[in-house]
Amino acid sequence: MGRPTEPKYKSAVGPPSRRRLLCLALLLGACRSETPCLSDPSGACAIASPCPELRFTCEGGTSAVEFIGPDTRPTGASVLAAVGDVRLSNDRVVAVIDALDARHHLSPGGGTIIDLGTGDGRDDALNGVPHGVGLLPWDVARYEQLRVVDEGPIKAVIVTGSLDGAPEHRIVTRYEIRPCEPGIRVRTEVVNRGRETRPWSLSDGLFWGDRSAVPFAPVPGRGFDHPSFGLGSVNDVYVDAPFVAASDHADPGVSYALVACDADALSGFHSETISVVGTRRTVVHPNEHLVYERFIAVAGGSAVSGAIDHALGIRAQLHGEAHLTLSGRVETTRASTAGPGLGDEGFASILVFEGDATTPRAARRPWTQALPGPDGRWSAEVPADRRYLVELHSFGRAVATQEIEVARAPVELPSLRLPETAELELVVRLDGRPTEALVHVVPADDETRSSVEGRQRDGAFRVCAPWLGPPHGGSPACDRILSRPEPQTLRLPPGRYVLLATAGPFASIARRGIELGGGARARVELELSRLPVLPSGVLSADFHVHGASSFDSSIPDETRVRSMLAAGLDVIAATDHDAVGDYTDTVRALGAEHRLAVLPGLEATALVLNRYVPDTLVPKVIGHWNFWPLPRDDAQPRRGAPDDEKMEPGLLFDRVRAAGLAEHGVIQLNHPWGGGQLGRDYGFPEALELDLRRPLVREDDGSAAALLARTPPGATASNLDYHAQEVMNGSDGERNLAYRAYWFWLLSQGVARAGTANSDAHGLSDNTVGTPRSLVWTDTTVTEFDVARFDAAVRAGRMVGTNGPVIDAVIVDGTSSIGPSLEALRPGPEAMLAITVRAAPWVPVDELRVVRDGVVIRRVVDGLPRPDPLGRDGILRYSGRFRLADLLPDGDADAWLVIEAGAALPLVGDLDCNGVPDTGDHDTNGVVDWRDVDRTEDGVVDALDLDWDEDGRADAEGPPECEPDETGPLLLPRPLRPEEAGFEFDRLGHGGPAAAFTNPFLIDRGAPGWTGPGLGAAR
Amino acid sequence: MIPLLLALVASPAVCEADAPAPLSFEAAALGRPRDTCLRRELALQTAARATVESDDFYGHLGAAALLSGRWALDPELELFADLELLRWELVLSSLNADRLGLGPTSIGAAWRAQSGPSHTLTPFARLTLPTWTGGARGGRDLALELGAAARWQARDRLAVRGTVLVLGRATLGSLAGAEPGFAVVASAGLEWRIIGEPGRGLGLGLDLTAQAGLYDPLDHLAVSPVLRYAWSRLGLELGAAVPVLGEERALALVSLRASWRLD
Repeated sequence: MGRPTEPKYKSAVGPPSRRRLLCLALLLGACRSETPCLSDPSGACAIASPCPELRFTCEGGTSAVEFIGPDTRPTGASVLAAVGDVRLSNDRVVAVIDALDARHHLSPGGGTIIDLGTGDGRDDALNGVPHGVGLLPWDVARYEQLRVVDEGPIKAVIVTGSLDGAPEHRIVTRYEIRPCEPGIRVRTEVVNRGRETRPWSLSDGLFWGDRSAVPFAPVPGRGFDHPSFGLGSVNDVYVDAPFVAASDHADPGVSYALVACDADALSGFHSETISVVGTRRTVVHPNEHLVYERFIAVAGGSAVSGAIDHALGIRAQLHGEAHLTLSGRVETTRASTAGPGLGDEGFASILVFEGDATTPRAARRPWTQALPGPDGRWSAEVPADRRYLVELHSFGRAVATQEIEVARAPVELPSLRLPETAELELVVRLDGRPTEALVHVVPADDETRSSVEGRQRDGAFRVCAPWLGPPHGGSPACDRILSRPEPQTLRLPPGRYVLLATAGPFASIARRGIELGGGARARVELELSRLPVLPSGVLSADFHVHGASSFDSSIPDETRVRSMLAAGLDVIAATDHDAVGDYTDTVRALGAEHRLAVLPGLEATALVLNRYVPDTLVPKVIGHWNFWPLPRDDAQPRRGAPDDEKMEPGLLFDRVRAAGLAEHGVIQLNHPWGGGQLGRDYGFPEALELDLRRPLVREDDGSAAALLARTPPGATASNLDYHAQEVMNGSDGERNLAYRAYWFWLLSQGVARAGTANSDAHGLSDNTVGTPRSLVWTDTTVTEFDVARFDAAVRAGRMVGTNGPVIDAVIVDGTSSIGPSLEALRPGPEAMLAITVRAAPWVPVDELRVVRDGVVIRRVVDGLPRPDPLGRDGILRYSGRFRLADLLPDGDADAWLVIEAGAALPLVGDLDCNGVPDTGDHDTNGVVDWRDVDRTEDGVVDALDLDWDEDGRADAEGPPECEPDETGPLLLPRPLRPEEAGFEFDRLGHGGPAAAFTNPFLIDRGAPGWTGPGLGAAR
Repeated sequence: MIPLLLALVASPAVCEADAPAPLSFEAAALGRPRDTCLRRELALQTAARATVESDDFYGHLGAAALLSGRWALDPELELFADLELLRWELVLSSLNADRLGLGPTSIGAAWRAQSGPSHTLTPFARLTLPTWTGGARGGRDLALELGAAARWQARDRLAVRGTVLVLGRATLGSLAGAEPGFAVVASAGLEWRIIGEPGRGLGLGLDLTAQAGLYDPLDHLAVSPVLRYAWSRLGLELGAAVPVLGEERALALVSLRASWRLD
């Protein structure tokens, strides 16, 4: 059978519609001969076919519905399908509905779309589409029955259930596919069978996840740019739109569009994390119901115009809205093979707005976005009878515009010409050999910065200067280039730049200034060399890395692995969100097995809020937890990861062990005090709202604080039975002092967990993989990697965490020399603490600290060298010895020591009075108070953050003491300019301070057995 | 207009105007008690309700304007009708929604079955029609109530009263089926005429109303105070209902009713 012809949109209003109208006129639900599924979900209940007025025709179309077997599972980086799920497909698209027991992401159960793509579905970029009537956990559908329907060419899946935790509110959904159609039809019905009147919007929750597909709403001032909101302000950002679309920036790209079939608009809100769209918010009395019919269109390619073309065709059928084809050509000034080129979003993209040049940006209605093909041709459907402003974007900026008034006939626009660009041939060598390296492209002056700042698609994601490509995609990403061993030529917007190349913190860096005019071509060779910074017997590891298998990452696997190689990492844990990650095949394909060991792993990421914390009004999740190594099994839901929702950590630990966590495997508490998003705390201790001024509650007294250490019902593990905790997370280390405070708090109370340092990188530009990293003292090697021995060293805390400085600290006692670990030691009276600190010349080490029982007892600041950052000398920063007895307190109480090196500790405060640092001294007046809080969250502490009365007077009092919502941030970096001292580390370290810490030395004194000094020792 | 003119010339019937406050916790205003009087009257009632459940992130505010007409055909038979001219609701949860439109309409008849110097028994029937507008699709309630109101003048200024009714409800136009529901509503109370003559002056009433079976064995038990003032043909009532037992989550209903007797 040949490829079917393109679908044609065909108007049809036939007998089904007349029958529906008759039934509506009679207000009788019993018009149908079959039992409605909302009434009785058992057996062969009926739910109407969605979008009956919609028709597509083509020749040779097919359709199929099947349960997925081991050999029929779609594959692709973002594909979630597993054996037992249901695949709905036709000659154009593939959709996967997950099995009822295969829950994903925000959904409390299965029966939802988890994959949707064209062709064989490899281009899927959908994370899941749960259904709900609101945003609370009990507003979301939980399906309990799934039925496959084969009605000749019409194939369907019907799922029935109720709102989660509210079985009286029944909900049913029919997914339907027909031959020729560029998407699937969906109808959902829900009835209020409770006694309360409810404010419902029957909606799809399109979980984009961040850093992935970007939603588009054709609403004045919106498009790809959506206002920020919190759970308390979501009603303020609701908006009606004729359709909603989205597209990703990965390769192969895909776009989606939703169109309501039974309403004139979709109502909802949008963000890079989630779009919630459906019926308008409605007061629903008991026994009233809502119906939501929509068509979800899919198209290949990363421009959103592919799906919008379908959406406008559908609206023409349903609402009689005429549309036409706008087309044109984009021309370059000269032929070039440099990347990005025509066809790449970074180089040329077309945005079409309703309005003209005089229309304020906030009043322009964006209608579509298209990408020219390699030949420069582009086309997109737009509504008829309007005036349009067509913008050509290049490197994230509008570079040319055209205005056009259209009627109903297709319009060919005059060609748009791209401005001249510069070309850069880039070669980076490490120890003389071309290599992978990360190259930052930094504007050298304000003029260049202002002329090259850009954003993706006129609004998505953050500003980059220059904007060389989608910040969360492959290279180039934002202002970063991942150089490859092969020759590479890149296009750049003209300007003066500083190129800064790095091969990780233990190699030299290269800096080169260049000035590139339009049409210029330059070759830059950057030389790096490895430096003798690391002691022998140390492996350099990052235990928190994301790739395309995560719902919030779209970096291709090959780029991800090359970025690890560029960072000089030896070991990584592939810790994708809620799916077992593994890069082994990619590492093998790149021939890098001898350079990089991969630990398949998981970041369990609870997303479904539930009320497990006593005396807390709002539902919570348990934060994020990493596990490695885990077996990856693509046939299983979540690639073998267990369900992690609605359970305490102890039960999760049991589940992960049952899923194959090795006996020697590691459980890591991630970013313990890492904030959160949409009410989901990233860290378990923060979710419990612990007060670190109070001692650990060791007995379960029913309090929230007792949850930290209790063994949850049905579990064998306690919530404290993890092995490691992130003390440094993220390249900027914004919250590291909070993580440190929690780690110290537990240590002082005798609960010793290994401290790790990880990047939590999701792409090339959000964080830099390997910054920071954990240095593991182990007797295994990458070439003969023994994961059990490696994990044993991690669990034993034989580690240093760092983003540059390397601390080698040992306690020398007679002939023995003992490094930091979680194994307690009983040193003799003559024991010495020997410390050596090394760092690459570009890494500042301003201070060395000895911390005992949570208090800095020694600071070394004098005599620490500040070598030339671009040189290769001056690696040894400190070498000295301390008599251990001088560092320990009087008496025979247990103690612990941690050595730190890097920048001086900043002045911080605890404004919400929970024992956790939360705010820095941003106004540099020597006092941390409410005037240091960035209340507008604009990255600057200024007058806008004060309270102003109607007379223009600033409030001099500030909020009450210990106000929980009046804090932060800890770190508010001001990016250094290229000419400023310290620019290199500031840039490569994402604005964070240089920092390193050892794991503790546990000093066992007095009665045998180390139990910690207690919280009083710190006071 | 013609009935109004007829009423103005008609001789007034002797009937003490006392009844529980005409309030209902149900969305379709089902289960409202009524009095034993048969009369000719036009009334305008405004009512408000509030439900605030912060633990459940739920709030429900409502206000309604109800036009009522009663027409005694003779001393034993009255026809009556209630039309919610306007109903506004604001429901707050993670999402907010409001609704403005017509409410339900009910029509009915009451028959004075027994009447003596100190007691009256008035059975009645009421049909509630789904005249809602706005809001969600389908699911409009059609309900029939059958009941009887009784009154006993215990003292010169003190009356004892009670109402019992059974209601049957079916949902029209719902994709979820008719979902029939049944309930028994019973109320009992006292009214003390503080000052004035029978049928006029200031009165204070207190009733207990129980509804069972629509959702739970005990839907609610509510206390309903009412303060009533009547002068000539004008009647004013300020009433409230506060649930004290059962699963009903509304904090209170309040109502202000003005009536003009036409007989």
